[in-house]
Amino acid sequence: MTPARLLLRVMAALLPVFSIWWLCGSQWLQPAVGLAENMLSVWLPRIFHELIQNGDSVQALTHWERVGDYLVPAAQVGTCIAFDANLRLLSYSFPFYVALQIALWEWCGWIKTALALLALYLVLVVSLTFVVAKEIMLGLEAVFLETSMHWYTYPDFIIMGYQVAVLLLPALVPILLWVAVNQNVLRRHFGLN
Amino acid sequence: MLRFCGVFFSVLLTLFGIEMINSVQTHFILPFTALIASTSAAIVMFFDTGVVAFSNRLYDTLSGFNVSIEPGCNGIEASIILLAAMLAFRATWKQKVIGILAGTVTIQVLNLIRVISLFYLGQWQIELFHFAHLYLWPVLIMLDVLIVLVVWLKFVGDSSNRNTAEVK
Repeated sequence: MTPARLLLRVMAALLPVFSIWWLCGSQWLQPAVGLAENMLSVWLPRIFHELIQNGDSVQALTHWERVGDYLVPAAQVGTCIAFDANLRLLSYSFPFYVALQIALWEWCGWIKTALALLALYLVLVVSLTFVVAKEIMLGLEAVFLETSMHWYTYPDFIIMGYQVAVLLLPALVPILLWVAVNQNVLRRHFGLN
Repeated sequence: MLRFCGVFFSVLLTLFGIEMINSVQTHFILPFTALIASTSAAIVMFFDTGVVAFSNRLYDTLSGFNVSIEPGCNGIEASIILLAAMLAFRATWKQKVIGILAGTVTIQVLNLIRVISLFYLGQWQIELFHFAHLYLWPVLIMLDVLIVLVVWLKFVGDSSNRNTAEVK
């Protein structure tokens, strides 16, 4: 297969695969939201309260509320500040991976495919955790900085994680998994070593 | 494979970390991003005189619509990925330098097409703009990286085959 043919095949596969991804909604990400919620509860116990999926986005509820210019514990006022995050910003890695796999047109086996999709799903969980953490950090800056006592709650760490999660992982991980899963086929076609 | 992964991820994370440093952002990333905006405006002005660039923004003077080109939308991350991958593969330094330069140019040309297409897509239909901006173009840019890499690997493979044949 030539690189041009690979490009044409991926482009042809992208349209139907992205359409299906768009029409399917994001309910299949509910387990990922649950896992991210557990991770955030451990990561930011004094700030994060709950993660609720709302269609294609998630809403992160916090333990804090804004009254005037001050942040007060949510328990005192009965309401809380919430932040939204877009799930599709991370989940487009799935149609991309499927389009690459279709373009190669050589079945690599159920186990390898399942493992690749599972890996994508786990990457999405970690990415979602960072995306939500970054939204909370920027929204509750003062409280967040006061409670940042460990390296894993430092703003630089969270910002770096967010940038990797949004700018690198959704587009890069599908290609890495595709190469890993189809090593022999790619070696035959393109001489990848 | 293990060597490739080691070099690839080391270079990738190091360069990505360097890119995040404030002084690098101020002295390189932001000026480069502004250069993309002005280059896009210069290209668009060939067929649309109502477009101007100011800092990192591209304006349509008639409709008032504008797009802001932010760090992360400048193709640098894609170039870093390509650079890391080419450094990780076994090839001569000359082949790596040629590949990195040619690949970076390809990525930046595609990124200019991306910026201009988004600028007009946003004026036409904002929902499509968001779809293309957030989901479609990142995939196309990364696909560009993949195809450039595959073409480069063919070039490297052909060169080494030629050299082997000449030695024989």
